[in-house]
Amino acid sequence: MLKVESIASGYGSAQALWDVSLEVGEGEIVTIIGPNGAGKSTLVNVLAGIHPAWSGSVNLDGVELTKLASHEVCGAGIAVVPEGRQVFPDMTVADNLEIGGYHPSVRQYRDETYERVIGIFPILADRGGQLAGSMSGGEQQMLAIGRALMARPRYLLLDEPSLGLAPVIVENIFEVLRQINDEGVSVVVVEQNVVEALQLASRGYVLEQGNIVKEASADQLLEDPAVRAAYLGV
Amino acid sequence: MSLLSQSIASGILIGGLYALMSLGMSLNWGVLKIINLAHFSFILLSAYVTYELASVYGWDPFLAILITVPLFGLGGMALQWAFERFRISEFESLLLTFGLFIIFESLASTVWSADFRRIDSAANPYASSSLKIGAISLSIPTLSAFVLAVAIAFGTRYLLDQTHFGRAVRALAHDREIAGAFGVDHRKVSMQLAGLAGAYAALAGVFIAMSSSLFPGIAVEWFGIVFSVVILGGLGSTMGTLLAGIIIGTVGAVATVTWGPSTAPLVVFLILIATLLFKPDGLLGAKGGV
Repeated sequence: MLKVESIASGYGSAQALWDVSLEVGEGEIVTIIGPNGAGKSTLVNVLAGIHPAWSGSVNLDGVELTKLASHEVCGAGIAVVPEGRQVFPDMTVADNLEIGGYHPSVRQYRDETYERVIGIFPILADRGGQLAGSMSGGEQQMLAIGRALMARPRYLLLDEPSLGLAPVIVENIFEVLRQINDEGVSVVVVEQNVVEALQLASRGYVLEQGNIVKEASADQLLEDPAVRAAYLGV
Repeated sequence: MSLLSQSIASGILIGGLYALMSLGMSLNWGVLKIINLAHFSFILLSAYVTYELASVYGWDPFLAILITVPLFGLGGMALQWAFERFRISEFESLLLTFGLFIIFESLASTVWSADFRRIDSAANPYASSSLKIGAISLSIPTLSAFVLAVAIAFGTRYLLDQTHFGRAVRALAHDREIAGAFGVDHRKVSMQLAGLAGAYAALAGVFIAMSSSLFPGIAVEWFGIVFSVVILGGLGSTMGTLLAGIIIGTVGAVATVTWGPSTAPLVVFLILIATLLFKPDGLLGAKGGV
């Protein structure tokens, strides 16, 4: 269980998260939706240990993640697919995957994990020697997800995985997330592509101005008049 | 003609030494975003330690490596620890290490005086020995430095390309936060890399002690050459640094015999300025990459 309690965070004097609490159960797919500037990326970065929390707690099965150094968080079972992919552009696809499996706790399973990842994304094996920066946006997204899977996460965090991608690619990516989830990985996906995200997830949270303003099942959120008005334009 | 071919040969070899002096600087700057002027102090002090071991204790100067490499490797790690601890920025590092540079220069003056020091020829048989190929003679210390520089450039390239440590370094150079999210401990990796840079400075110092006279102010004279090599090669580029060292060494040597010794620094700085204007990423440099 990933249990987030009363997280506050921000940049300098600009507070981005005020009092965020949420839970993600083992094997769940949860989505966090919200408008631009709601603090979604900050939240993902806090959960991944990339950005520090000012206060509050992020607890993964009894391990307090906010107390860990950033390079230790992935060893606790969390991996991130950051906004804009952020693959290492001057490194090969194969080296990007190697970095995904860099953490000492997962390094011994590297070959086995690699087989699993290229089973999901065969293109990553075909393009192993290519520089990541020369791939298309959709391919880079696959690489970013593959890199995160190399860390053998129990909880996979994705920040706007559909950003800038053609609808058919987005379909593929979300299908893969479902498949990854079937293999037992819990998925937390932050999205502005609200319909896709709610169709994928079982539960959702609405984040606005740094606060969770609504929590419901995905189906309820899809029917919710306020959500439909704000995010679906209907 | 033989004067020109001799100067080209010597220039290529001295270029190897320039590359050896510059490689650590380039890694520090390109990967760790630290402009480490104390790197020059490490080279200087390593040279003086070599002088001391050879002249006073009668060591073979090559054996000085056993002391200077661990000593300045640890020195590099200690400095990087402090840079991380106090979150020193790229610009701050330039000012801070300029201060350290002055301190180390005074230290060298205090211990070894401002006079010229040179390892006695009895203790340094290599200085006067050379390898003759036809009319060209190659000095043994410079030739050794060249061979070592080539080996180290290729070795470092292999380390960066093929090992976990190397991949971590490259990931860190591009994006410290994302690298951290996959378990790259930037503090540990950057200290290891700074240690390597310190060790390279130590090696350069040993060869300088074997081939030339030392005085504390000599380190300032290296600034122009090393910065030109680092910029021309491309920040963090190992092969670029080697290539740039050889180019700068050769051009400097040819300028010396063609237009006189005083023109060498002029030509070297012209290359630096031209690089900054027309090819700011250097010959083999890539933005954010190593």
